Amino acid sequence: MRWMLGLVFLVLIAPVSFTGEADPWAPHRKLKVLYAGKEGGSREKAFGAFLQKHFDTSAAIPLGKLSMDTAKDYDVVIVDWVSQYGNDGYAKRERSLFSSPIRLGPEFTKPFIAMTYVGTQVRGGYKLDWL
Amino acid sequence: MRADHTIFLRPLNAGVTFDKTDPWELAADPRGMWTVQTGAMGKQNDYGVVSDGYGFEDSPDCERISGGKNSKGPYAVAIGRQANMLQWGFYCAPDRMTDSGKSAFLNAIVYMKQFDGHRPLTKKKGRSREWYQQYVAMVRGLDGKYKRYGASFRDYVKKQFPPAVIEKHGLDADALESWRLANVEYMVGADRWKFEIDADLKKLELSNRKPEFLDWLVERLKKDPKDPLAAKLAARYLGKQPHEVIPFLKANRTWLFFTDTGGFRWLVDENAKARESATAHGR
Repeated sequence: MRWMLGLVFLVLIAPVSFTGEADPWAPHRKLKVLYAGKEGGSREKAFGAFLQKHFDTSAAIPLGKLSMDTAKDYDVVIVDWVSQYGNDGYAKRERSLFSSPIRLGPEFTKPFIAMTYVGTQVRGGYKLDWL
Repeated sequence: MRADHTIFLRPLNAGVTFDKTDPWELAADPRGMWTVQTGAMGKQNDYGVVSDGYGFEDSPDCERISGGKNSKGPYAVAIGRQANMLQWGFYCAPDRMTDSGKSAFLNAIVYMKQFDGHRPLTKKKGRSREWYQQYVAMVRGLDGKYKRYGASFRDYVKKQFPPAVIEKHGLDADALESWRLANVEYMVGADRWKFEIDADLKKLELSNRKPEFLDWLVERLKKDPKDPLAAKLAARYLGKQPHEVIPFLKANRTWLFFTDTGGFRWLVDENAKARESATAHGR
């Protein structure tokens, strides 16, 4: 019984910071987030560090491997690729790689955030296109 | 920019502030601009993307959240959602986002989870009639903020109106605005970029995008199931044969919406329909 009381106590105080204010982010750390982008790219590294800091579960896969199957264990996917124009000042110039390797048809129903121009390529022809 | 949108407020307060120190000449928002990312454009960060904002929200799967400094105008969509996809049109990865940008991005991840299973309701088939607001604004600015674009821009603007309208009103912005207001409910896409006035609708004084249009169809087809004008308009705006119209409306009216950008058609919000069906069946 004592360990059960301890568990309840932990659950109650977990989302509360030392200032006594509830941490609004705490309940959302459990979201599972997948990053699909350029394997080994500078943006994958930046997103990786960011997602690991804010979510308990995150992972990265090459954009070309993104599918309903590879995304099935995640709540939200970040869909990204490389600089379209090569103007971003990252150490490795990635200008030659500006075209997304996949398209995501309407059958891809997992929630996703498409970074910069990538949505216009993976789901071109819909309303979030460049025209 | 919808500063009251969930992604700016919950679960994290993104602390959106507006900067007026670098005004954008085309900005329509007097509050100023929100700084999302850091670094010099074209050197430390790349150009992003915006989508057409006119008519963007004419289907219920879409919401415009923020514009951005761009060459397409103040209503273009930098951050927006269609069904299960949110476009974050700004280029920078989190290592070059501002703290406010990072918080909004995290909130966006949380926000998107609820759209699991949603499908886009319509493709982009053409421009919305809302573009005529922009065209009239362009006419107004020909001797002002658009003057530097010269004669070719003037010609471009002129070509956006039907030739007969330009012949009658010239580039008189007030007259063109009056023409727009008198005809806006009867506009239909002639092709992906141009519009025409539906003479049948104008004669009937019947909007193609208001529910009264559906009532009119039902009334006419109940009186005469082969009514030729009703058949013509049903085909044009519902894509249905006369005998299909009443059963279709009976089954779907709750979820119907009219979209210009989706082809000047009444379509069914299949996401809402599926959701309500699942709720009704206890799933």
